[in-house]
Amino acid sequence: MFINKLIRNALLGLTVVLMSALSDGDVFAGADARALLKESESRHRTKTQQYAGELTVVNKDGKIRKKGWKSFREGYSGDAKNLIRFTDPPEVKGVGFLSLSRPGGQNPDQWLYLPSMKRERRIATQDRDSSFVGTDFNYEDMEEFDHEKYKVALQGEQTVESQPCYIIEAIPFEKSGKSVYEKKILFLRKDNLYLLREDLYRKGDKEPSKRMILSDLQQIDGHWVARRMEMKELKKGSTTTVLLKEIVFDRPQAAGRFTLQNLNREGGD
Amino acid sequence: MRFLLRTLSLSYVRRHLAKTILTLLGVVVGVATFSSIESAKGTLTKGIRSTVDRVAGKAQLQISMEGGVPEEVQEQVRALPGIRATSPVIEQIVTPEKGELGSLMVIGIDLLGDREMRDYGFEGDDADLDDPLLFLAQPDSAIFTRQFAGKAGLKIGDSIALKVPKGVKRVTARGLLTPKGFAEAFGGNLMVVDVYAAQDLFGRGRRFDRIDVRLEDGTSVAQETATLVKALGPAYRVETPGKRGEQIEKIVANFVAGFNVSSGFALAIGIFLIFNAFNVAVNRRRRDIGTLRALGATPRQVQLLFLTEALVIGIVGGLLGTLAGTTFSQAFLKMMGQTSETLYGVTSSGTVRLPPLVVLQSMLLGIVASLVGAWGPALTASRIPPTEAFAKGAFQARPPGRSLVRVAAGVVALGSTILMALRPPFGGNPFIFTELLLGGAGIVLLVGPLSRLLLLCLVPLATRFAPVAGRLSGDALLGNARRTSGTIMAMALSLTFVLGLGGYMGSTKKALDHWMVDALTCDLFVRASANFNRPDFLFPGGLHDELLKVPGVRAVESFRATRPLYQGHQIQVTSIEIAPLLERMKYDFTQGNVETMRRGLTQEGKCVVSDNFSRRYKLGVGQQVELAAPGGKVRFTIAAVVRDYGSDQGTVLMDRTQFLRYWQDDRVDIYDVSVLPGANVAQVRDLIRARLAGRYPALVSTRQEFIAEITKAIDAFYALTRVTLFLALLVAFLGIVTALLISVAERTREIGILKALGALPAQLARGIVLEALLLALVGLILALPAGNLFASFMEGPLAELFTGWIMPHHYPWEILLQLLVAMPLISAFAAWIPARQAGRMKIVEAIEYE
Repeated sequence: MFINKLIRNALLGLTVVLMSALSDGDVFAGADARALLKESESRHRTKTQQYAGELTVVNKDGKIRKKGWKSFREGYSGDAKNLIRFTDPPEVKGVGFLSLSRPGGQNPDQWLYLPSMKRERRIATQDRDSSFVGTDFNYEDMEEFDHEKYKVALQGEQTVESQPCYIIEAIPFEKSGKSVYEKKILFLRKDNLYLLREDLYRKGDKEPSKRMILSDLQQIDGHWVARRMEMKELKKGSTTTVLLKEIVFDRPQAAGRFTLQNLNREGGD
Repeated sequence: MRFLLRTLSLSYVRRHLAKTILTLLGVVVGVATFSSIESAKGTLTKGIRSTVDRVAGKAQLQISMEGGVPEEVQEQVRALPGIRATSPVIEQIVTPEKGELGSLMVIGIDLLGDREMRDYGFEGDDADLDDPLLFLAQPDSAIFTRQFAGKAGLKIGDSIALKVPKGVKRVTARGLLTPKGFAEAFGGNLMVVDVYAAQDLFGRGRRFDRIDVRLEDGTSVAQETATLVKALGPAYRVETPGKRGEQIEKIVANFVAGFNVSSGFALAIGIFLIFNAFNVAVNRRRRDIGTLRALGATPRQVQLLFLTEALVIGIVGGLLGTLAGTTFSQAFLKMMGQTSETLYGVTSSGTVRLPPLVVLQSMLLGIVASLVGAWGPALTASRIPPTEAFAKGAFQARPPGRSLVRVAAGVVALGSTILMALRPPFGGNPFIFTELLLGGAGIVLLVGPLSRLLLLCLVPLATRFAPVAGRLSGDALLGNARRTSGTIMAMALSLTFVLGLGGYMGSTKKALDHWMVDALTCDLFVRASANFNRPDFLFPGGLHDELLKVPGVRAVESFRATRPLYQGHQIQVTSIEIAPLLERMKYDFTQGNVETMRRGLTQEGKCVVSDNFSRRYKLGVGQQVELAAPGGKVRFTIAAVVRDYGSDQGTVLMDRTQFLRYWQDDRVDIYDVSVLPGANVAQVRDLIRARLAGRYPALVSTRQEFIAEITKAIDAFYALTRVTLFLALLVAFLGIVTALLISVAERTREIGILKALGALPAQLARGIVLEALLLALVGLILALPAGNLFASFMEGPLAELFTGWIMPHHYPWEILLQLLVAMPLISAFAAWIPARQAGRMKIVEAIEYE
């Protein structure tokens, strides 16, 4: 038994050596990155997640805008459905955002609901780089990250916030829906494979145009979760912070919550 | 030449300063009219074009459709290959409650996705948008340009009241735009709102005014236009912003081009003034000319001297006229802008800037007008032999030219004008130009001999009533035939213009009044839009049944008008419930009858066309009209042709069921409401207003009010024409003053002798006043047939050429009456200065005068 396993490992090792001799190092590194991302997804996947978010936008002049929302998610990554409903201040209460993933790695369907108009409006592909209701997130940032839509490669390691991290480069596959980014650099904490930072490069940019930092990691219901999410527009100098509160995982979601009917329902969550 | 100018010309100007100034004024008024109209026209069309370009931003194509583009078309377009981005747009012009802030252009855009389209961001350096989420969440949100906000004293969070179709509505400033690019559209009087809020605000339903399209790199505009036309069908217009701008500019340019006629007339009258002034100057300076010739000056040098004087007058008059024009141009722009907004729903806001080209053109016009006016007299001066120049009085007494040849030529020219008008050998601008040229030449040739003839008849009559004044004025007028005919020519031209244009306006108005009485026969008109030609708001079709339930209402008909392109012209397609309409309305049929119309429209799916449509496109009963509907092209057989003044480009009328079937759009412009017999119309109106209040625009007018509002709109259209009529009268007034001043100056010696013989200043003054009255009377008598001809030409061939309408002729008795009252007063007023001058003349100095 042990010998069998030894032979099998030896053969696998030989194959890897041969492959690396025949091809460049990226393919190998890519395979590693993919494995890491797969592992990360399997470790952090939850059936559902909901939280109350406290949103703060600080523009370059230091002007602060605050909002409150409730977020509901069902599924994860490539099969996620997301509903956000603003709760605060009263002037924006009821504004809703629904994002539904689509199969085959296509861009998700997204809608914004405005109670004053009593109607939803569809977010078109061309609008994916538009600011999400004045925050530093755009509509693409509001999607769940799905590594299947990217060509990934391990770039090395780096310490972020005193945590050793893997650095993974993710370049979107053009065929699976258009991305506003040319590439993303992901910083995955080595010990729990949790995403700590994401540098986002818009098309044609040499330097990252945006940076997302996830911090204040805690374990809730046995799941790691960053209670603070920060998106910086590096060129504009503005920052949007979301503080996650009342986080609950795997609570069954109401039937029909992630539908257009519910999005358009007065007082619907 | 410089020596001659300094010694001869300058001394003449010094001695006759008032006359020189009046001659100069002729050029100034003519040039000022031209330059102010031109610069206002240029600013208006340029402003409209600039607004179209600035608002278009990066859009390479724009999709529009009469009645609006349904929302779902945007998704359809986005799915097509070669499309990079699309953005819906709604545009509307509103006025703030504080009218002094000027019209405000409201642009409804999709703020979520507009960054791909406009060279403008709504955050960052370009704009200060306080809170984008709040902006989207609150339907009263608006972004203003900093320029407008400054003018209105608005800060972020402040609100402003605007007059919108639903009434007065307050909007809140939630952002400010930095004035550059897009934010400079409409002269900076710009307000941006969310396109979906604009739909509600302006009753667009689930439609946009247009969809702006940006193409993928590598996709050609022609290729994508073809793709879009194929995908969307013939009812949609797919065009580049440039083309759209050009079309709007063309529509407005056609409207403002009419004012060129006015400035042309002003200049023509100015030329006659100059001609007259120089003619007299030549006569007065015959001795000087004779001396010059005797001292060796060549005829060419003499001619050059007078032409140089004209050149100086042209330059100074052109310069002053251009400057004066700038002060009038802003007022002209305002009037033109208001009219173009009422008529076409487009206008521009801004300050008139005098373009260098207009300055150049105005200067050239001033110079050319002066040279043309002075050419004849200068030539005459150069041909004066020295011996004849010293023989005082011989020339003045000689009647001008060979009368018979002149009369014959005039009759031929005028006859040709009338014949050509009856049977135009060719069309377009060449026809108009030839008609005006021949008609003008005919009048010019005939005015001299005819005015002399008239004076020979009138002077004895005047002498019978006022023996001294009559004889004095008769001698003055008949004694210098050239001066008299020149003045009467300017006067007759002015009055021809006034009577002709006024007559045309009167005929048009009369025809429209008559039509309105026949067509607008219901008791109440429930309108969604204050503007007659641009729907600011449309009612939902369902309101029909609701209105029918209002106590006192007997019948409701739903009127809808769209303005699609037909053979490149913007015609009007109207629809209404025909059966009840025919019970109350009396149509004037030119082909077919009420039965063919009823059957054709209600049972056979046919249409009725207006008489001007029939004439313009040469289509009559039994022939077909092909219209582009959203589902494709539809052919309608013509059941009847009726007189209709709904559109100057032609109207097609169909039953509402046909419109609903092919256009799939149930919105309504006007609900025509008839009340039950005995019901109180005012009460029913109040009930309708109460039912609509807060939901829809409540523009409910009674029949009389509705007719009065349309009449007011027509009057507004003619407001500018009235200004030009006034200018023509002003030039005529200047003509009389100049002529009389010259007359007094020329007769200085004579007046001196008369005074020495005992003539009283009052007698002399009466003579001069009578001279003015006779000038005006002869001018008016000559202008009566000429003005009538001019009006007939405009109502007939000219109107038919541009609109297909032939207006029934109506003689402008009102204007004639006004002129009969005004002209003696104006003449007497014009005679006041010369009469005073004559009265104050000292006998010794006058007798010594050479």
